[in-house]
Amino acid sequence: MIFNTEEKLLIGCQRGNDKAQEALYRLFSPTMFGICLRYGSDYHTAEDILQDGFVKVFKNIRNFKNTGSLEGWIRRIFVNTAIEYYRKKTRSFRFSPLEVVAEKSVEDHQLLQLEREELLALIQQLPDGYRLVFNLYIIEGFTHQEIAEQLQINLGTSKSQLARAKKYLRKLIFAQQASEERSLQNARSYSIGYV
Amino acid sequence: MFKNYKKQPREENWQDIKRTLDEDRVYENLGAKFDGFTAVPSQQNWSAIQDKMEKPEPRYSRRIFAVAASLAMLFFIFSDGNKTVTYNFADLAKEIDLDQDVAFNLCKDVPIVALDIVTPVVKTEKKKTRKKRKKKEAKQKRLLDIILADDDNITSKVDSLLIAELLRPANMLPEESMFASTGGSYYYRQGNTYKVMYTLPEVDYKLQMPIDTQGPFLYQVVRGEEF
Repeated sequence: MIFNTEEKLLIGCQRGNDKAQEALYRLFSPTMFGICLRYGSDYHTAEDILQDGFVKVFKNIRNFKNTGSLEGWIRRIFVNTAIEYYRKKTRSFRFSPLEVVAEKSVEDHQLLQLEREELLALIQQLPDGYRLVFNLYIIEGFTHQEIAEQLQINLGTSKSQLARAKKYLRKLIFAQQASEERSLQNARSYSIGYV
Repeated sequence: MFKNYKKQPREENWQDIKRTLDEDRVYENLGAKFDGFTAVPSQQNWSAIQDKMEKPEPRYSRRIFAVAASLAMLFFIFSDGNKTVTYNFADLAKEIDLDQDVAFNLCKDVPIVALDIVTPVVKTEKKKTRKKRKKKEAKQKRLLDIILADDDNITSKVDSLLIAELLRPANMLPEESMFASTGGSYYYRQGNTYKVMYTLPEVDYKLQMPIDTQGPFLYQVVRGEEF
């Protein structure tokens, strides 16, 4: 059977057809893995979330009503899986205290110059709580009220975590740039000495 | 008094507002960098998903259920199903006037028994120990040897176990208290030595005994009540 439309694919998956499930995985796994990489602290964590997410998708696909897009429904499952992953890991979210960071160590234009892969690597370095709120607010576009409900935290906690996440991100960029400058200086002094 | 009141706010207010707006714009652009972001996962992930689908992680309740099911399975394996299974006609009895004949026919009717209106109920029966069972078997064997072999100085080659097997009904009666007389042909084959027609269960026996049989039964003299 060829699943040439999303509807056929959906029906196949709802009937538990192996081929349909694999086709659905092939179709949506790159997008969903992108989400997992943003929420995960590293590649392996992202893979764990990906696997758990697809298992949930296949087990619950019969409950999908054709009211919205299939991709949107799957995406929501993945976001919830990521949240659940950290909830299971820590029992309750441990939001990091505000660290002493430079007030504005990095200019906005420097932030915007970052490539997507560089930004992804920085997001993965954020503490779990910061990363969750950052992803949910900045990238997914949820409101603080929605985030507070999803994570079962106060509205104020969501706001403060986002503010801290932004500062932390700038701090990371600043540290990275400082490190690059140092290595560049070392390289220059080495080349001068060599000449 | 305050109808046309105006006052220029401090410049810092606008600076704060502008900073907030700018920052929002920056992060909006940062978020947009992930629009359509995809990454192809490695092939092993699909295999892992299939494994997780086939073998879901057993939860505590599932483990309890698995243990309970195993125990139930063991109970059925080691219990004698023919003796312990009865049928519950409670639901059916509500619908029809159930007399003994109807009940008897229902017991025999396999399709009806298979319906969900009939629920098999396990009647617990004390399990005999192997020692007791062996003792009983030995006693039966001895009794059969006495009855069939050591009679009036007649020595015959009796395989008592074979006879016991032959005498065992092929099918159990639905209820142990139900008996029926044997057919006339059986009576005829035995000759006039049988004076009394004994009530026997109405079941098929594996026993086959042609007229010219040269076996232990031809030597037996059945003495009425003593048999």
